Amino acid sequence: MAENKDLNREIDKRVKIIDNKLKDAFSLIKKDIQDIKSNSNKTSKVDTSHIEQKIEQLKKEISQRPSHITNSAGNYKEVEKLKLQLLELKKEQQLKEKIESEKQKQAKLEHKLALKKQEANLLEKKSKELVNIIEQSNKNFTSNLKELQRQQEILIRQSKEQQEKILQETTEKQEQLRELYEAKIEELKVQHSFDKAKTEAKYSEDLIKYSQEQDALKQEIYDLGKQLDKIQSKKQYSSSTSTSPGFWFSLFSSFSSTSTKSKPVVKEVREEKKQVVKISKDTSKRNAFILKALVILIPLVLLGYVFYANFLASHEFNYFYDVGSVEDSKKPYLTPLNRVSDIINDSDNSYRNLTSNLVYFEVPVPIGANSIDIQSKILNTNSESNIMIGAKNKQDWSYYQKTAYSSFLESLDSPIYSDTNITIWKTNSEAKDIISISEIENGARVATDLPLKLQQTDTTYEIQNSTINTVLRGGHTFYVYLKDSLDLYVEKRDLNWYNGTDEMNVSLYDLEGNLLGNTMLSDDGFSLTERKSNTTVSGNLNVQNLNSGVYKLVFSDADVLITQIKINTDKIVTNKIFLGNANTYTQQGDKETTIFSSSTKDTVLRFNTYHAPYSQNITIGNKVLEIKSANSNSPFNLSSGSYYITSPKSNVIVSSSSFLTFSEKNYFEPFKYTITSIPTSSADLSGIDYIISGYKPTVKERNWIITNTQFNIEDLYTQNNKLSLLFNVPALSGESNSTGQVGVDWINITVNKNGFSIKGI
Amino acid sequence: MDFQLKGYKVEIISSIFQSLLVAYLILLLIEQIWVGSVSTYLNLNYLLIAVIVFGVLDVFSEHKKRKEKPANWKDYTFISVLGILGFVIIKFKTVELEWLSWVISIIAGILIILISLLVIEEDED
Repeated sequence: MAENKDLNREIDKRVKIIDNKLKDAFSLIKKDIQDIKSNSNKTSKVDTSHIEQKIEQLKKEISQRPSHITNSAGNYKEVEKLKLQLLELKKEQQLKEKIESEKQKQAKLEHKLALKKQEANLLEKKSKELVNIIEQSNKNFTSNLKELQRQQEILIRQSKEQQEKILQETTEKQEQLRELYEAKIEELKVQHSFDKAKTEAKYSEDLIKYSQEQDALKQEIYDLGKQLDKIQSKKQYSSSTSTSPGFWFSLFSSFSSTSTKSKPVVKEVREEKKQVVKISKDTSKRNAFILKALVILIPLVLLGYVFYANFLASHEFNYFYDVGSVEDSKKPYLTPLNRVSDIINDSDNSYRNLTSNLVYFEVPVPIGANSIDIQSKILNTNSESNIMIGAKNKQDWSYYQKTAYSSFLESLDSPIYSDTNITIWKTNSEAKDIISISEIENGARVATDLPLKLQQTDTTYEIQNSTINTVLRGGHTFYVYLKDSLDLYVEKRDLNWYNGTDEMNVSLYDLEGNLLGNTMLSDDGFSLTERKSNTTVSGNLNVQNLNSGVYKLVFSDADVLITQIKINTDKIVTNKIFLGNANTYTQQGDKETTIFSSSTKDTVLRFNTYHAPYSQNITIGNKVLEIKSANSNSPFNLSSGSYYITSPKSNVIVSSSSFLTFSEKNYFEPFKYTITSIPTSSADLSGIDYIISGYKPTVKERNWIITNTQFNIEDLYTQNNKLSLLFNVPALSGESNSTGQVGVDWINITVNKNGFSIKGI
Repeated sequence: MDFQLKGYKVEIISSIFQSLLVAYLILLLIEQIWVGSVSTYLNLNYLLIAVIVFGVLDVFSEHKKRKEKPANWKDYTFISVLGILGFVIIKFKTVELEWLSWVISIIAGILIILISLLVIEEDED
């Protein structure tokens, strides 16, 4: 209805607008006609008046002239008359011209009028059309409305019918239910009355029985009283002491329970009562027991749950540190704050930059946790910068660090194998593809950061005693081939460059890392910085009952020179030798030292000296390498083969992934495959077949990377159930000139705790 | 306003309160000795709320008067065990204080025993 009203209102509004337009058009036309008429009247009047005045004036002049003048000059009068005629003619002509021009104007106006009329007609026509359209729409609308009203009526009728139907059904159901209910009530009533009648009958029976018994008892008591009275009267007792039968009745009635006939009934009642009391007590006891059991169950359930959670169930605890979030602004996750920036907000992330190389964070570690996975979203604008994540592993400041982002490893081709524990890259195209450490072929060279077990070769050697007189500086680690026993003699000379005593431990280990024997070479007695090295200290190490094979001989690091080694084997190799036969240590002049190296693969030798005067030319086979300055750690690419390496001045550290020794006869290949540390640049990849690492390649997300690092909790140190972790970015240390930023957006830590399990099940 | 719970409800509330309190104290002790072993899996504050609620209800309950028995050897043994337990726990928690740890834990153990004895004697009077 409201729509209908709106439509009618709209139609009225439009009709009014058209009417107004038509009225305006007609009024304009009328006004124009009026203007034309008034203009034509005005022009004729104004244009002829002055001529007519002049004619009137001339007529007056002619008539006013004296007759003599008129007679004397008859011609003149004639002239005057002609002038008048001429003026009249002029007037007539002017009038004609005016009429003509007015006619033209009138024609124009009529034309305009015709146009306006035409326009008015058009408007009228249009308005008629509009009115027709509106009428048509109105008709349509009305018919639609009627149709809708008809449908509505049908629907209402149907709805009413349905309602009535439902109502009828409901009423019927209600009626049925009511009937059922009434029948049930009736049935219950019957049952109840039946029960009642039954109970009443029983009661009546009992009552009759009891009253009969009571009457019998009364009679018995009465008889007894009578008999007693008789006996008493016979004994001639005084009347004052005699008692009536009523007395005996009351007396016996008080002891009626003892009467023989009443006994079973009373007993029955008592027993029944006892039974009821017993049942009641039992029920109370049972309820109390259940209640107590339930109440005791509360702490038991709680303790049981805590036990189950701690010792039996597996758990995965997740801690998400959203660096740069509101929580972080209130209580920063990363500390100390002077090593991180303020919160940075860009369009996608809010984060903090690490401004120094050691930034710490903590994570709760529950008792019995096994491993910890650390994922972090990091922005590393300097792709050359490595990022380490460390976990505290000792009470003192000590962190077991793993590489979270390695620029070198990221620059390698895709790994040939990767799982949760190891990732394997093949760096030598000729090496075969492997998917586990056990598949590494003999003679391969493996760079790794994992504690891979060294596997000795099956080759056996005939060994002889040997004496090594090459002077060595500080600690060294050798691999030696032994049979049955180790007989070692060592001489050392303390340098006394640094404060403190200079003991040196000499230890023998098997390849499992078990200590088999050790000895200590004591200090020479000078513990200050005297720089005296005159006294020689020697020691022996004897270890018996050894199987033939490769062993690790370790000389601990100390401020000493090892001047002589006598050992019952001539197979002794190492990866690093510090040549010490230099004047700066011995005060006996710089001595030339020669060592030997052999390799079946290309390798890299590195030479370094700590002292600038010992920059020197090293001869490797027939080639020469110049050590140009101190601490240059100069590399030399060595092709496969055997080489003598000569240092003219000594005081040089020689290191390599292949083995070094003192002479050709001392050389042997101790292991099936060689293990070396992961190089830091592709230049050092020469000769390395595989890189096996616990490093997880990062996942890239726009400019950000997501790192993944895993630690075993067993290797770590927790305090108050909290583990300290750190970000170590060497490029951010004060010593580094590296530029760029390292941002941390979030750290997601998952602590895994394995549940109880029996092996094999 | 006289608001008091009566009847069997009193027994139930009292039992639940005692049970929850004991559970709470045991769990708190475990948490103190093995930090994180309870709080990692169970928020003890929720249990404390339950203990407080039932404690308040227990206070408003009308209890039957119990017969007061004189203290016997069992009570004295129990007190001694509590004193020793207190001493051990405090020693364990203050072990980093070295010799001071002994002093604190011994004094605490003695205090536990003395205060308990005082309470028992007072009850008897």
